[in-house]
Amino acid sequence: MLAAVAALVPGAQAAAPHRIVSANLCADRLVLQLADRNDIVSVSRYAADPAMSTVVPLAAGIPANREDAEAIAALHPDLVVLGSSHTSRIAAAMLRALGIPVHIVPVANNIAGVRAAIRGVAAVLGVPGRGAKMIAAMEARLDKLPAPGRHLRAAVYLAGGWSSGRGTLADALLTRAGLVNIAAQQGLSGFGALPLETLVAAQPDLLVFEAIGDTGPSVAGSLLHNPVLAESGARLLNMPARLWACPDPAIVDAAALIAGAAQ
Amino acid sequence: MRQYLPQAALAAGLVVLCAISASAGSSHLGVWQMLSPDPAMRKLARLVVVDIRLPRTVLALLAGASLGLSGAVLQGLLRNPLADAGIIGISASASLGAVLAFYFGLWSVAAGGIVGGLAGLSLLMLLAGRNAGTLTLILAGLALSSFAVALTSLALNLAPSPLAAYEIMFWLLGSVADRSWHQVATAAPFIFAGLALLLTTGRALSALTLGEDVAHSLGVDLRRLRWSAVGGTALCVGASVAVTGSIAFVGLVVPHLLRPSVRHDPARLLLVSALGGAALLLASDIVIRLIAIGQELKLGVATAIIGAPFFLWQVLHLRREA
Repeated sequence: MLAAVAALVPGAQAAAPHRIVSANLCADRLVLQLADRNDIVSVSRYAADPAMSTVVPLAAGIPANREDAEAIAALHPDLVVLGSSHTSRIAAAMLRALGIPVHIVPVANNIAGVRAAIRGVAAVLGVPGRGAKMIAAMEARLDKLPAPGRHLRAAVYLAGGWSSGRGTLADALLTRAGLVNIAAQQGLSGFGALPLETLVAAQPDLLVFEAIGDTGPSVAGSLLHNPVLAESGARLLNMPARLWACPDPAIVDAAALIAGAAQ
Repeated sequence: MRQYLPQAALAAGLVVLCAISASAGSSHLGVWQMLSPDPAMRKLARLVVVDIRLPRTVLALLAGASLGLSGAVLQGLLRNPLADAGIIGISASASLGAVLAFYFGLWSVAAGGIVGGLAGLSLLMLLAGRNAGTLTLILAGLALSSFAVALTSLALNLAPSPLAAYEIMFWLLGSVADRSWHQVATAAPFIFAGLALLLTTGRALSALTLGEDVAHSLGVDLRRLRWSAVGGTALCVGASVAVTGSIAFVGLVVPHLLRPSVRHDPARLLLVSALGGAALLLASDIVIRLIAIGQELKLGVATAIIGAPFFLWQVLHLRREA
């Protein structure tokens, strides 16, 4: 009788999954930090990639998967955690049709979004307390970061001449560090092209480049080597992409790099 | 004197376009601000005009001249008004060569574009033969183009860089935006060599309008003509595609529009097509800069929007004649 009631209460201990498959970098990072290691059956192949993962040691020894509904179903999971890309959603629909519970880690567009993502994963894992602790520790570290003396003008400049405008996590972190995001000021919302000329004419004090490990050459990347950027007189900051690519506490390290460069 | 009128008019137009190109951009900085009393403003204006707008202007001129001139030469050589580096798959094969060179470090990017263009053109000549009908040429070009685009996507899928997916757009849509002087310098020597080679084909192309036998009896070395046309196109189109990605239809539209102004003389068409191609591409790039609100339109998209209806009209026109 008691067991039947417990099964009806959402988030009750009885529902906690013990065969968890994570098939997305951001999902891996939260699952590896929040779940019990013995409950994790498989994580994505990116979890062990030091260029993209912040939890490489935690992923050691856990079998890797591809984001492939058929292979995931064969692992008989009682919870699958996925990302929010279009292909992920197709895989999610297929797994749900097979009766497997699926949780999707949402994209965070601001710090509240990061909190929500952590809370969501902790809840489906049946460990809401660990999630709350993770959020509290993250907030405490964020609050300790120094604020810059004046409002410097900054922009993120990505390969291919793209930038992060309003409604992106990068914008939220720049704004929280007391900086003015040039791309948002120019009316860019989300990710989009920021013409080099607009960027230079806005006289940036700080340019944040995003580096995804050692990626080898690319034409889009070569735009970042334009001597004009160095000549603009702005300070240049190389941001490892893994720090702000996912909604998890690694964003504190990204915020710390920004705060340091803005001093 | 009158016979130089089209050249003079186009050259004057180019000067005007270059002046506009130096002044037009996404910021409100102008050339005159390079003379501002404020040294910070002077430096900023110099950076924007000399290091951002000028390389893109030079690149538009060089790529446009390459496409226009190669279009005129290919149309003369194949005696087919639908020949154009883009339509017959040369731009796509040059893109493939450049992508291979860039991602797998086989050659320099410009050399990759040239080798790709050369391979594509040779394959096309083999597939379609010298006196191919319009249909055969277009079909062979279409096959070559699709194949090269597919291989480019495959190469980018296999490339180690996570940015590779973005490059597919870059190569297929073409742009001269935000290129540095270094990138211009990589391609320029090859483009100049290619243009020079193509400009030597004028007399032979004029003779060829009378048919291969007559041209031969007039002392035209047809083998040399073919190799100059193929080599010159591969050099200048290959090298410009390596820096700009493929830009369609310029080589198709320009010679056609200018042919009446030189009384359908293939030899005189060459220089005006080079000037006209440069003018068309630079003008398109200026329009893109002026209408860009938020997202920047890609140059290749703009030329395709102008060029595709023109291509259809050409096809209809040919069908009516047949």
